Amino acid sequence: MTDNDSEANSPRFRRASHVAWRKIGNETVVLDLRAKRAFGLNEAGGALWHALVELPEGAGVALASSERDAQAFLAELASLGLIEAVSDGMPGSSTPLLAGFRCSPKVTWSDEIRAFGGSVCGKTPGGGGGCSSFPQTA
Amino acid sequence: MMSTANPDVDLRPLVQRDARCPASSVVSRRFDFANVAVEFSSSDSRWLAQLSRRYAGFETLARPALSIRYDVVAPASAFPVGPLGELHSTKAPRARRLDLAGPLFTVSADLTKATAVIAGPRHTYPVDAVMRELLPLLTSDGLVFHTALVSDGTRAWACSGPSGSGKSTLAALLAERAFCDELALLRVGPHGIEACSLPFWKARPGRAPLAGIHMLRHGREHRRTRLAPEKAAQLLLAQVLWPTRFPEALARAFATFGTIAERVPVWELEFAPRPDVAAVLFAEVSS
Repeated sequence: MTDNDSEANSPRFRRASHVAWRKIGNETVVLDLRAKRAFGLNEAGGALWHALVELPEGAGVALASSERDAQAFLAELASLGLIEAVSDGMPGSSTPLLAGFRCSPKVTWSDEIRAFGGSVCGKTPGGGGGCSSFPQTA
Repeated sequence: MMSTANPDVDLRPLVQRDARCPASSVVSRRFDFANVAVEFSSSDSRWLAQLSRRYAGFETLARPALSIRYDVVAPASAFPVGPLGELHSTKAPRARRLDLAGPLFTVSADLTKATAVIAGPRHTYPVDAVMRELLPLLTSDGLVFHTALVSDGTRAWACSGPSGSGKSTLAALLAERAFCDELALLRVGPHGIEACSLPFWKARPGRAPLAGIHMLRHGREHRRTRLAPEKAAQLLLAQVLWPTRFPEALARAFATFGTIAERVPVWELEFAPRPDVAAVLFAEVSS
Protein backbone atom coordinates (compact mmCIF):
# COMPACT_ATOMS: atom_id res chain seq x y z
CA MET A 1 0.00 0.00 0.00
CA THR A 2 1.41 3.42 -0.88
CA ASP A 3 1.08 6.66 1.02
CA ASN A 4 -1.34 7.82 -1.64
CA ASP A 5 -3.55 4.81 -0.98
CA SER A 6 -3.56 5.38 2.77
CA GLU A 7 -4.23 9.07 2.24
CA ALA A 8 -7.30 8.24 0.20
CA ASN A 9 -8.57 5.98 2.99
CA SER A 10 -7.70 8.10 5.98
CA PRO A 11 -10.39 10.28 7.55
CA ARG A 12 -10.34 13.98 6.82
CA PHE A 13 -11.09 16.59 9.45
CA ARG A 14 -12.16 20.18 9.87
CA ARG A 15 -12.52 22.32 12.95
CA ALA A 16 -15.79 22.24 14.86
CA SER A 17 -18.00 25.30 14.62
CA HIS A 18 -18.20 25.83 18.40
CA VAL A 19 -14.55 26.61 19.03
CA ALA A 20 -12.50 29.79 19.28
CA TRP A 21 -8.71 29.86 19.27
CA ARG A 22 -5.78 32.18 19.71
CA LYS A 23 -2.04 31.78 19.29
CA ILE A 24 -0.38 33.02 22.47
CA GLY A 25 3.40 32.76 22.61
CA ASN A 26 4.43 29.33 21.36
CA GLU A 27 1.10 27.74 22.14
CA THR A 28 -2.35 27.84 20.61
CA VAL A 29 -5.21 28.04 23.08
CA VAL A 30 -8.44 26.51 21.80
CA LEU A 31 -11.67 27.23 23.63
CA ASP A 32 -14.62 24.87 23.34
CA LEU A 33 -17.54 27.28 23.70
CA ARG A 34 -20.00 24.46 24.24
CA ALA A 35 -18.09 22.37 26.77
CA LYS A 36 -16.60 25.47 28.45
CA ARG A 37 -13.13 24.04 28.36
CA ALA A 38 -9.81 25.46 27.16
CA PHE A 39 -6.99 23.42 25.63
CA GLY A 40 -3.35 24.30 25.15
CA LEU A 41 -1.70 22.96 21.98
CA ASN A 42 2.09 22.91 21.73
CA GLU A 43 3.88 24.55 18.82
CA ALA A 44 3.60 21.56 16.48
CA GLY A 45 -0.02 21.02 17.47
CA GLY A 46 -0.71 24.69 16.86
CA ALA A 47 0.82 24.47 13.38
CA LEU A 48 -1.43 21.57 12.53
CA TRP A 49 -4.43 23.34 14.04
CA HIS A 50 -3.82 26.47 11.99
CA ALA A 51 -3.38 24.41 8.82
CA LEU A 52 -6.74 22.89 9.61
CA VAL A 53 -8.62 26.12 10.29
CA GLU A 54 -7.24 27.90 7.25
CA LEU A 55 -8.77 25.40 4.86
CA PRO A 56 -11.58 26.56 2.58
CA GLU A 57 -15.13 25.80 3.65
CA GLY A 58 -15.90 22.12 3.15
CA ALA A 59 -12.31 21.01 2.90
CA GLY A 60 -10.54 18.73 5.33
CA VAL A 61 -7.03 17.68 6.20
CA ALA A 62 -5.85 14.19 5.40
CA LEU A 63 -2.40 13.03 6.32
CA ALA A 64 0.04 10.61 4.82
CA SER A 65 0.43 7.43 6.81
CA SER A 66 3.99 8.45 7.67
CA GLU A 67 2.59 11.21 9.88
CA ARG A 68 1.37 8.91 12.59
CA ASP A 69 1.91 11.45 15.35
CA ALA A 70 -0.26 13.89 13.49
CA GLN A 71 -2.94 11.29 12.95
CA ALA A 72 -2.98 10.45 16.63
CA PHE A 73 -3.17 14.14 17.46
CA LEU A 74 -6.11 14.67 15.11
CA ALA A 75 -7.82 11.64 16.58
CA GLU A 76 -7.39 13.17 20.04
CA LEU A 77 -8.79 16.52 18.89
CA ALA A 78 -11.74 14.67 17.35
CA SER A 79 -12.37 12.76 20.58
CA LEU A 80 -12.35 16.08 22.44
CA GLY A 81 -14.93 17.47 20.02
CA LEU A 82 -12.65 20.22 18.72
CA ILE A 83 -12.60 18.88 15.16
CA GLU A 84 -14.92 16.65 13.20
CA ALA A 85 -14.58 14.24 10.31
CA VAL A 86 -15.78 15.34 6.89
CA SER A 87 -17.02 13.00 4.23
CA ASP A 88 -17.04 15.31 1.25
CA GLY A 89 -15.30 18.42 -0.03
CA MET A 90 -11.84 18.94 -1.39
CA PRO A 91 -9.19 16.25 -1.24
CA GLY A 92 -6.96 16.27 1.77
CA SER A 93 -3.40 17.37 1.76
CA SER A 94 -0.51 14.94 1.88
CA THR A 95 1.94 17.74 2.55
CA PRO A 96 4.15 16.91 5.52
CA LEU A 97 2.57 19.60 7.70
CA LEU A 98 4.84 18.99 10.64
CA ALA A 99 8.19 19.14 8.90
CA GLY A 100 10.63 21.20 10.91
CA PHE A 101 9.12 20.52 14.35
CA ARG A 102 11.19 18.45 16.72
CA CYS A 103 8.26 17.67 19.02
CA SER A 104 5.13 15.71 18.29
CA PRO A 105 1.87 17.66 18.22
CA LYS A 106 0.23 17.48 21.63
CA VAL A 107 -2.56 18.82 23.77
CA THR A 108 -0.41 19.96 26.68
CA TRP A 109 -3.10 21.05 29.14
CA SER A 110 -6.80 21.63 29.52
CA ASP A 111 -8.84 23.58 32.04
CA GLU A 112 -12.48 24.18 32.75
CA ILE A 113 -13.77 27.69 32.05
CA ARG A 114 -15.85 28.90 34.98
CA ALA A 115 -18.30 31.72 35.54
CA PHE A 116 -16.65 32.76 38.78
CA GLY A 117 -13.10 32.06 37.64
CA GLY A 118 -10.87 31.59 40.64
CA SER A 119 -13.26 33.65 42.71
CA VAL A 120 -15.13 30.69 44.15
CA CYS A 121 -13.44 30.73 47.46
CA GLY A 122 -14.09 29.60 50.98
CA LYS A 123 -15.27 33.03 52.02
CA THR A 124 -18.63 33.16 53.66
CA PRO A 125 -21.13 34.97 51.45
CA GLY A 126 -21.11 38.63 52.30
CA GLY A 127 -17.90 38.22 54.24
CA GLY A 128 -16.32 40.94 52.16
CA GLY A 129 -17.94 43.62 54.26
CA GLY A 130 -18.02 47.21 53.14
CA CYS A 131 -15.92 48.96 50.58
CA SER A 132 -13.88 52.14 50.95
CA SER A 133 -11.56 50.33 53.31
CA PHE A 134 -8.52 51.66 51.47
CA PRO A 135 -7.51 55.30 51.89
CA GLN A 136 -9.40 57.61 49.54
CA THR A 137 -6.49 59.97 48.97
CA ALA A 138 -3.82 57.65 47.60
CA MET B 1 -37.90 54.66 39.64
CA MET B 2 -38.80 51.18 38.52
CA SER B 3 -42.17 49.56 38.23
CA THR B 4 -42.94 47.24 41.10
CA ALA B 5 -44.24 44.31 39.09
CA ASN B 6 -42.88 42.44 36.11
CA PRO B 7 -45.33 39.92 34.64
CA ASP B 8 -42.46 38.06 32.93
CA VAL B 9 -40.75 37.24 36.19
CA ASP B 10 -41.60 34.10 38.05
CA LEU B 11 -40.47 34.56 41.59
CA ARG B 12 -41.54 32.34 44.40
CA PRO B 13 -40.65 33.68 47.82
CA LEU B 14 -38.28 31.38 49.63
CA VAL B 15 -39.80 32.12 53.01
CA GLN B 16 -42.59 34.36 54.17
CA ARG B 17 -42.01 38.08 53.95
CA ASP B 18 -40.62 39.53 57.15
CA ALA B 19 -43.71 40.94 58.85
CA ARG B 20 -41.64 43.23 61.09
CA CYS B 21 -40.70 45.39 58.14
CA PRO B 22 -43.73 46.22 56.05
CA ALA B 23 -43.16 47.40 52.52
CA SER B 24 -42.76 51.12 52.07
CA SER B 25 -42.21 53.28 49.02
CA VAL B 26 -39.51 52.13 46.62
CA VAL B 27 -36.26 54.07 46.71
CA SER B 28 -33.09 53.55 44.70
CA ARG B 29 -29.31 53.97 44.72
CA ARG B 30 -26.83 53.90 41.84
CA PHE B 31 -23.32 52.54 41.96
CA ASP B 32 -20.48 52.52 39.47
CA PHE B 33 -18.92 49.21 38.39
CA ALA B 34 -15.99 50.31 36.19
CA ASN B 35 -18.03 52.79 34.15
CA VAL B 36 -21.15 50.62 34.22
CA ALA B 37 -23.79 52.30 36.36
CA VAL B 38 -26.23 49.95 38.06
CA GLU B 39 -29.34 51.14 39.85
CA PHE B 40 -30.72 49.18 42.77
CA SER B 41 -34.22 49.79 44.07
CA SER B 42 -36.11 48.27 46.94
CA SER B 43 -39.05 48.98 49.15
CA ASP B 44 -36.95 47.82 52.10
CA SER B 45 -35.05 50.82 53.41
CA ARG B 46 -32.96 48.73 55.79
CA TRP B 47 -31.68 46.58 52.93
CA LEU B 48 -30.91 49.66 50.86
CA ALA B 49 -28.98 51.13 53.77
CA GLN B 50 -26.94 47.91 53.94
CA LEU B 51 -26.24 48.12 50.23
CA SER B 52 -25.17 51.75 50.53
CA ARG B 53 -22.62 50.76 53.16
CA ARG B 54 -21.50 47.79 51.08
CA TYR B 55 -20.76 49.85 47.96
CA ALA B 56 -19.83 53.12 49.72
CA GLY B 57 -17.48 55.22 47.64
CA PHE B 58 -18.83 53.86 44.35
CA GLU B 59 -21.98 56.00 44.18
CA THR B 60 -22.74 57.56 40.80
CA LEU B 61 -25.33 59.75 39.12
CA ALA B 62 -24.67 58.26 35.68
CA ARG B 63 -27.50 56.81 33.65
CA PRO B 64 -27.85 53.16 34.64
CA ALA B 65 -26.97 50.40 32.20
CA LEU B 66 -28.96 47.99 34.37
CA SER B 67 -31.75 48.40 36.92
CA ILE B 68 -32.10 45.80 39.63
CA ARG B 69 -35.09 45.53 41.97
CA TYR B 70 -34.42 43.74 45.23
CA ASP B 71 -37.35 42.10 47.01
CA VAL B 72 -36.60 41.20 50.59
CA VAL B 73 -38.37 37.90 51.14
CA ALA B 74 -36.48 36.60 54.15
CA PRO B 75 -34.93 38.05 57.29
CA ALA B 76 -31.18 38.44 57.56
CA SER B 77 -31.13 35.47 59.92
CA ALA B 78 -31.77 33.26 56.88
CA PHE B 79 -28.07 33.48 56.17
CA PRO B 80 -26.46 30.52 54.38
CA VAL B 81 -23.47 28.74 55.81
CA GLY B 82 -20.35 27.99 53.78
CA PRO B 83 -18.97 29.15 50.46
CA LEU B 84 -21.27 30.77 47.98
CA GLY B 85 -20.41 28.70 44.93
CA GLU B 86 -21.69 29.35 41.44
CA LEU B 87 -25.34 30.07 40.75
CA HIS B 88 -27.46 27.45 39.01
CA SER B 89 -30.05 27.93 36.30
CA THR B 90 -33.69 27.59 37.29
CA LYS B 91 -34.99 27.68 33.71
CA ALA B 92 -33.75 26.57 30.32
CA PRO B 93 -31.48 29.26 28.82
CA ARG B 94 -33.20 31.86 26.70
CA ALA B 95 -31.71 34.60 24.58
CA ARG B 96 -30.49 37.46 26.74
CA ARG B 97 -32.31 36.14 29.81
CA LEU B 98 -30.95 34.62 32.99
CA ASP B 99 -32.96 32.80 35.62
CA LEU B 100 -30.63 31.74 38.40
CA ALA B 101 -30.66 30.72 42.00
CA GLY B 102 -28.08 30.82 44.77
CA PRO B 103 -28.21 30.10 48.49
CA LEU B 104 -31.59 31.45 49.63
CA PHE B 105 -32.11 33.78 46.69
CA THR B 106 -33.26 33.86 43.07
CA VAL B 107 -32.58 36.29 40.25
CA SER B 108 -34.35 36.85 36.97
CA ALA B 109 -32.55 39.14 34.53
CA ASP B 110 -33.66 40.41 31.14
CA LEU B 111 -30.58 41.86 29.49
CA THR B 112 -32.55 43.21 26.53
CA LYS B 113 -34.67 45.32 28.85
CA ALA B 114 -31.66 45.89 31.14
CA THR B 115 -33.66 44.89 34.19
CA ALA B 116 -33.34 42.27 36.88
CA VAL B 117 -35.25 41.23 39.97
CA ILE B 118 -33.60 39.56 42.94
CA ALA B 119 -35.59 37.95 45.73
CA GLY B 120 -33.61 37.10 48.83
CA PRO B 121 -32.88 37.80 52.47
CA ARG B 122 -32.12 41.20 53.91
CA HIS B 123 -28.43 40.91 53.09
CA THR B 124 -26.12 42.11 50.34
CA TYR B 125 -24.43 38.82 49.42
CA PRO B 126 -27.04 37.99 46.73
CA VAL B 127 -26.16 41.26 44.96
CA ASP B 128 -22.45 40.46 45.11
CA ALA B 129 -23.12 37.06 43.57
CA VAL B 130 -25.44 38.40 40.88
CA MET B 131 -23.04 41.18 39.94
CA ARG B 132 -20.27 38.64 39.46
CA GLU B 133 -22.56 36.88 36.97
CA LEU B 134 -23.75 40.03 35.20
CA LEU B 135 -20.61 42.18 35.05
CA PRO B 136 -18.90 40.01 32.41
CA LEU B 137 -22.02 40.44 30.27
CA LEU B 138 -22.29 44.20 30.84
CA THR B 139 -18.65 44.94 30.01
CA SER B 140 -18.25 43.61 26.48
CA ASP B 141 -14.94 45.43 25.95
CA GLY B 142 -13.31 44.10 29.07
CA LEU B 143 -12.62 41.13 31.26
CA VAL B 144 -13.46 40.75 34.92
CA PHE B 145 -10.37 39.34 36.62
CA HIS B 146 -9.99 37.75 40.03
CA THR B 147 -7.25 40.10 41.11
CA ALA B 148 -6.14 42.80 43.48
CA LEU B 149 -5.22 46.11 41.88
CA VAL B 150 -2.41 48.37 43.09
CA SER B 151 -0.98 51.54 41.61
CA ASP B 152 2.20 53.60 41.85
CA GLY B 153 0.14 56.69 41.11
CA THR B 154 0.63 56.50 37.36
CA ARG B 155 0.16 52.89 36.34
CA ALA B 156 -1.71 49.93 37.76
CA TRP B 157 -0.60 46.37 38.42
CA ALA B 158 -3.00 43.48 38.66
CA CYS B 159 -1.98 41.01 41.37
CA SER B 160 -3.86 37.81 40.70
CA GLY B 161 -3.90 34.21 41.79
CA PRO B 162 -6.17 31.62 43.34
CA SER B 163 -7.71 32.18 46.74
CA GLY B 164 -5.03 32.10 49.41
CA SER B 165 -2.27 33.29 47.08
CA GLY B 166 -1.99 36.66 48.83
CA LYS B 167 -4.21 39.20 47.03
CA SER B 168 -5.79 40.58 50.20
CA THR B 169 -2.50 40.37 52.10
CA LEU B 170 -0.69 42.37 49.44
CA ALA B 171 -3.47 44.96 49.18
CA ALA B 172 -3.44 45.40 52.95
CA LEU B 173 0.36 45.79 52.96
CA LEU B 174 0.12 48.49 50.29
CA ALA B 175 -3.15 50.03 51.48
CA GLU B 176 -2.21 53.55 50.36
CA ARG B 177 -1.64 52.22 46.84
CA ALA B 178 -4.39 49.59 46.66
CA PHE B 179 -7.59 50.00 44.69
CA CYS B 180 -9.22 46.65 45.42
CA ASP B 181 -8.35 43.17 46.61
CA GLU B 182 -10.69 40.75 44.79
CA LEU B 183 -12.03 41.78 41.36
CA ALA B 184 -10.98 44.31 38.73
CA LEU B 185 -11.97 45.03 35.16
CA LEU B 186 -9.27 45.02 32.48
CA ARG B 187 -10.54 46.93 29.49
CA VAL B 188 -8.96 47.08 26.02
CA GLY B 189 -9.16 50.62 24.66
CA PRO B 190 -7.70 52.65 21.81
CA HIS B 191 -4.80 53.80 24.00
CA GLY B 192 -3.95 50.51 25.62
CA ILE B 193 -5.33 48.39 28.41
CA GLU B 194 -6.95 50.10 31.36
CA ALA B 195 -7.45 48.56 34.77
CA CYS B 196 -10.47 49.64 36.82
CA SER B 197 -11.25 48.65 40.39
CA LEU B 198 -14.51 46.94 41.26
CA PRO B 199 -16.14 47.09 44.71
CA PHE B 200 -14.97 43.65 45.83
CA TRP B 201 -14.14 43.18 48.72
CA LYS B 202 -12.13 46.06 50.14
CA ALA B 203 -12.04 48.68 47.44
CA ARG B 204 -12.10 52.29 46.41
CA PRO B 205 -12.69 53.68 42.93
CA GLY B 206 -9.58 53.83 40.81
CA ARG B 207 -8.34 53.33 37.27
CA ALA B 208 -4.99 53.52 35.53
CA PRO B 209 -3.18 52.10 32.50
CA LEU B 210 -2.26 48.49 33.17
CA ALA B 211 1.52 48.03 33.42
CA GLY B 212 1.58 44.33 34.14
CA ILE B 213 0.13 41.34 35.93
CA HIS B 214 1.67 39.50 38.85
CA MET B 215 0.63 35.96 39.69
CA LEU B 216 1.07 35.85 43.43
CA ARG B 217 2.36 33.24 45.81
CA HIS B 218 3.56 33.47 49.39
CA GLY B 219 7.25 33.05 50.08
CA ARG B 220 10.03 33.90 52.52
CA GLU B 221 11.62 36.51 50.28
CA HIS B 222 10.49 38.66 47.39
CA ARG B 223 11.25 37.17 43.99
CA ARG B 224 9.84 38.13 40.63
CA THR B 225 10.10 35.88 37.57
CA ARG B 226 8.85 36.75 34.10
CA LEU B 227 6.51 34.15 32.64
CA ALA B 228 6.41 33.05 29.02
CA PRO B 229 3.17 34.17 27.37
CA GLU B 230 1.86 30.61 26.98
CA LYS B 231 2.46 29.80 30.66
CA ALA B 232 0.94 33.11 31.68
CA ALA B 233 -2.13 32.48 29.54
CA GLN B 234 -2.78 29.15 31.21
CA LEU B 235 -2.58 30.70 34.68
CA LEU B 236 -4.66 33.73 33.75
CA LEU B 237 -7.44 31.68 32.17
CA ALA B 238 -8.29 30.29 35.58
CA GLN B 239 -8.67 33.77 37.10
CA VAL B 240 -11.21 35.23 34.66
CA LEU B 241 -14.91 35.47 35.42
CA TRP B 242 -16.12 34.01 32.12
CA PRO B 243 -19.62 34.72 30.73
CA THR B 244 -20.21 31.00 30.31
CA ARG B 245 -23.97 31.12 29.84
CA PHE B 246 -23.86 32.85 26.43
CA PRO B 247 -21.50 31.41 23.77
CA GLU B 248 -21.25 34.65 21.80
CA ALA B 249 -20.28 36.57 24.94
CA LEU B 250 -17.79 33.84 25.82
CA ALA B 251 -16.18 34.06 22.37
CA ARG B 252 -15.94 37.84 22.68
CA ALA B 253 -14.38 37.57 26.14
CA PHE B 254 -11.89 35.03 24.84
CA ALA B 255 -10.82 37.41 22.07
CA THR B 256 -10.28 40.12 24.68
CA PHE B 257 -8.36 37.64 26.80
CA GLY B 258 -6.06 36.86 23.87
CA THR B 259 -5.31 40.55 23.38
CA ILE B 260 -4.47 41.02 27.05
CA ALA B 261 -2.36 37.86 27.20
CA GLU B 262 -0.38 39.00 24.16
CA ARG B 263 0.18 42.60 25.21
CA VAL B 264 0.59 42.58 28.97
CA PRO B 265 3.76 41.30 30.67
CA VAL B 266 3.09 38.70 33.35
CA TRP B 267 5.34 37.69 36.25
CA GLU B 268 5.19 35.23 39.04
CA LEU B 269 5.70 37.21 42.25
CA GLU B 270 6.72 35.32 45.34
CA PHE B 271 6.52 37.70 48.29
CA ALA B 272 7.02 37.87 52.03
CA PRO B 273 4.43 39.88 53.98
CA ARG B 274 6.53 43.06 54.18
CA PRO B 275 5.77 46.51 52.72
CA ASP B 276 9.09 46.60 50.86
CA VAL B 277 7.50 44.26 48.32
CA ALA B 278 6.46 47.52 46.63
CA ALA B 279 10.00 47.99 45.32
CA VAL B 280 9.83 44.65 43.52
CA LEU B 281 6.24 44.98 42.44
CA PHE B 282 6.62 48.45 40.92
CA ALA B 283 10.00 47.75 39.29
CA GLU B 284 10.45 48.52 35.63
CA VAL B 285 8.34 46.29 33.43
CA SER B 286 11.34 45.27 31.32
CA SER B 287 12.82 43.23 34.20
